[in-house]
Amino acid sequence: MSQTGPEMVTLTIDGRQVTVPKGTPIIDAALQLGIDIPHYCYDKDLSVVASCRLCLVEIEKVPKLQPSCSTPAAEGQVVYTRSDKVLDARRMQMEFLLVQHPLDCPVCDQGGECKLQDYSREHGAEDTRFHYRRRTFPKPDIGPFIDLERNRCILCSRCVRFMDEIAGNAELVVVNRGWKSHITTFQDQPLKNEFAGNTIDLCPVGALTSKVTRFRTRVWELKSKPSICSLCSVGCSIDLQHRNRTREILRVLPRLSEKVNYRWICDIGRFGFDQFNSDNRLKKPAIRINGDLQETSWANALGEIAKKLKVIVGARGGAAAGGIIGPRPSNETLFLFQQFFREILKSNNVDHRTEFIPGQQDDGFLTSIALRAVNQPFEEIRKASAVILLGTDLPNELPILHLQVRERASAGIPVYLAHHRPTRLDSVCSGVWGYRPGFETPFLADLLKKTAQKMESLLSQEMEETISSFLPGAENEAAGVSEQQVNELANILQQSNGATLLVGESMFTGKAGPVNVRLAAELAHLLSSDVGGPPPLSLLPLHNNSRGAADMGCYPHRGPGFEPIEKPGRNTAQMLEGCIDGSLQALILFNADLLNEYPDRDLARRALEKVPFLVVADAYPFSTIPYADIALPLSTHAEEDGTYTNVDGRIQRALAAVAQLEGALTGVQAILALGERWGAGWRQVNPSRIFEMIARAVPHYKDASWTDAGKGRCVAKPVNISLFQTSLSLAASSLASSYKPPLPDYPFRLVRGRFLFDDSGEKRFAPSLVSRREECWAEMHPGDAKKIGVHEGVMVSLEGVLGSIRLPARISNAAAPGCVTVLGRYDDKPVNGLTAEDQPWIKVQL
Amino acid sequence: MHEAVFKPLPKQAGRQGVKVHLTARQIKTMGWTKSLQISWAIVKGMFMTWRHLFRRPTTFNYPNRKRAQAPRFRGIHRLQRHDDGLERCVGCGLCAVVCPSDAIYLEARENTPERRVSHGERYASLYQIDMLRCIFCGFCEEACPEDAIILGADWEAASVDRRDFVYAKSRLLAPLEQKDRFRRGMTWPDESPETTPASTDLPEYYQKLQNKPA
Ligand code: SF4
Ligand code: SF4
Ligand code: SF4
Ligand code: SF4
Ligand code: FES
Repeated sequence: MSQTGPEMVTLTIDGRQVTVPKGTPIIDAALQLGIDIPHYCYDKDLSVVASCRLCLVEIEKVPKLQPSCSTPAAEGQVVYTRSDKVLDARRMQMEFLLVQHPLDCPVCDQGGECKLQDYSREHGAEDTRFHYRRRTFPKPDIGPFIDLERNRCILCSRCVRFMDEIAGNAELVVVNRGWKSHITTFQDQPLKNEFAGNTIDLCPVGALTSKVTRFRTRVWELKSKPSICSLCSVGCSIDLQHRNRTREILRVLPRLSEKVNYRWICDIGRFGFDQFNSDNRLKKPAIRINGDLQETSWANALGEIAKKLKVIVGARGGAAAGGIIGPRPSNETLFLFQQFFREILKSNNVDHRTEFIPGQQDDGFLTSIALRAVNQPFEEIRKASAVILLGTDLPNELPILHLQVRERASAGIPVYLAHHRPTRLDSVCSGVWGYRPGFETPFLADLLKKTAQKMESLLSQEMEETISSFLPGAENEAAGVSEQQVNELANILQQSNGATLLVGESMFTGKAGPVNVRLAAELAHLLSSDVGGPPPLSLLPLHNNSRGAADMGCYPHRGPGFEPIEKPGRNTAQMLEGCIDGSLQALILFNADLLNEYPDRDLARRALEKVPFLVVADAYPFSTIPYADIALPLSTHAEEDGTYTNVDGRIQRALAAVAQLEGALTGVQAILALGERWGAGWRQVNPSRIFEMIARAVPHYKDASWTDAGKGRCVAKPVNISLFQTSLSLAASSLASSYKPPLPDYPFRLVRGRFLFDDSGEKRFAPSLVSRREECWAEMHPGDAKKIGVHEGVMVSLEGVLGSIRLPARISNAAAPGCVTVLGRYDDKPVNGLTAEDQPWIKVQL
Repeated sequence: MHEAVFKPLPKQAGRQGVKVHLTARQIKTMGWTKSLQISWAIVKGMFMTWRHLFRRPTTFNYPNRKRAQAPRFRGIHRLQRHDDGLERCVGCGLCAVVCPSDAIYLEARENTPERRVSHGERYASLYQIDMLRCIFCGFCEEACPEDAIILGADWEAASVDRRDFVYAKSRLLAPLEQKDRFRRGMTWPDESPETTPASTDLPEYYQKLQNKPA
């Protein structure tokens, strides 16, 4: 502690002196001396209730024993933690806690890491004196993830406090009094909160255990490997634990990471591990012979790929081959993938943007990089004086960021949110604004204009023009936000010096992305206290390695480190069109679930059908496999070493937790093997060596090292790039068509969004997540529903120009009038197959 | 004490000083005391031989006769049942973790109201002991909180195939009609369907071992 720190006090614990900041509970002071005072109800991240009474200590001149968790350290205190009086009290307290305990350790999954076992052994009496019938409770069902066994509960209320104070959803409560008191969920409903899994870690006994791991192993059989969660761009540090002697991953625990997830993870990361154990994997390379996919060897498959590609590239040049890689594989795989195309095939047809069609060469994210946006949401919200969220549904997009924003809000930092539908974060926000879906740009333009007016700052001529092109008078109403509301938000922004701006996927992706990011960056500049510094703007890409894919140069027009390429190749959309018109002869799909992710399913399907040579490499049998000419089985995330760059630009390393499935290769191995086969002189090396290559090739990864990445210490440096296209008004004018009124026959706008418990990507292969997933529904405004006579729960069919699906209707004010919202991605509900992306018009029929 | 066994024999013969390998010349030239000594040694040796010929043999007619066992003999394991026929083992894995030779492999499942196998919530769906690894130390028996695994009286486990020594639940579990807890005089259960849980068709021990992570 520095001199300027808080006031310090010195006390004596068990004869040793320790100096701690004033207000520190004795239990923490003792911990500094290495004295572990037994405790159940105390947890440093939760409020103090001092209910278990196990932490009693003796303090000189205080007549009674005091709970050390709720007694602050004071100057000159003399504390004894192991005096006879204390030990006696502990023994009695342990006996008391065990009075009703079933003592079924052999069948309890907590056995082996149970505080009740540990403390009984250390401090408890040998036998019980309670010889009456023990109290028992009926066993409730609180959802597919967590098992509540009330008989084992010691009512420490840690779980209750966690749900209330941190997860922000008081779903667990203690009901009744005295010996009848027990934990329950509100009205015995299943737990809904996506952080509920953390209560399992917090529960000191076996009252809350994981249903997914239940009885599949004992804790002492688990071997742990440090990894990074692969399900969203937060990239939580986790431990993947597998059972000794088998290759089954059986538990995921959070690993402390101060700068990212701290000690919490969300339930999809925690309970989704069964995807790694899935039997439903690609296990052998397959090759199409006479119309059928038939198993073959790797050597054969790679030989065939090399042969075919050589013919195609030889005849038509590298531009006839293209590669689409999803934003999920490790940096090493992404780097090698684009290297394979650029170096070996001499083709720039590489892209990782599978989920949107960028309006311009430089999409929203690249625009933000060029505008030197900080792009560090976690770092930013920690120091910002206000957090402004635009166009993001954090609870469904980035759960842990949601948790941190929530924490900032409860620490008194104002959080403002503007999104096209209500989110679960609304309740903690100091202000919430809704705009009409699809009208992100007019909304931003209006907001920027009003804020600039209020702050009396001048916008550039170009900016002014652009803004006015989106504000043709009454169009303001069309954006769904009233004049007064925008003024209100502008007022707030005007006063929020030192605020940070977080912009979600719905704003920065797609055609309008670059323009939105320009507007948002301008807004951020206005708010920034640091004039001329980088705008406090962070984009929130969603996939676990979206940032890495960008840094590794998986762009048709930018190489590693955003290095501009003179003769840009085709992006995803252009490649798919090339497949259809025959200018692209070979396509490699790598870890990309293209049919489900691409906004225009019809186009993607036709392209995959048409392209003469299609290679699909993936760990799971996604719906692209039936189109493949050659299918390559890859290892899962749990079987491969690699680094991943999270939303903060933090480069983090995950290690393989289990042996590779026989027959599958990791992405790195597969690409290197292909290069080897090609005769390009590539040979198999460890991912750590590839990472060294990356550090040399990508300037802003220069200081990163494999070891440091393992400790989560590496952060990508800011970069200086200039935009490919600079004319803002040009970009804006291309958008004008997006605000056309709906087609007469198709009166509704289809709005899509994310949903945490859906079916997307690998989630489908984890049975536990499938059991928790919520059914897909079509959300409509009550007014619209009334007009066409739809009731809650009725099956409606959504019809677009390209296709139709049937979904149950949900009538809610959350949907904007004239819009139908469908959240999540479901394999069997191809909502991306209804319309083309820029014509999101559908009709609803009963 | 044991070390002596492995020591090479001394060059010179022992206390009697008898040389066994004598050439014809040596015998001719040998004095009468010496020859008496040798003759006496032969008589003594032959006496010993003849005495043993008329003793009762230490070996016995094995498959027809068996040796009586010590009361705490540790033979091949058995998995016990409760009086109501349910299995005692709850699949806690304590036997597996205590086993010094890593001979036990088990997997557990949850009892359902339709299919209740043991008293607790959990039962061992797969329970295998590799008898070739086992050193019959009895630790598993000692660790078991449910008195489920015991080392029985049987010890005859010969086979010509190593795989036969991985005893699955079908060979370990006491048959239903022998639900008493006494281990003496039990014979191996038949592999009848009642004693063979449906779950024994799970992947077996050897396969698990082959998939050992690097
Ligand atoms: S369930 Fe666990 S964490 Fe919750 S009160 Fe009971 S013992 Fe404490
Ligand atoms: S927040 Fe994201 S990265 Fe973290 S555990 Fe959840 S899914 Fe994984
Ligand atoms: S007797 Fe000893 S070696 Fe054999 S299974 Fe039991 S614990 Fe293992
Ligand atoms: S035999 Fe005993 S120690 Fe082994 S798993 Fe069964 S109950 Fe546990
Ligand atoms: S930890 Fe102090 S009373 Fe529970």
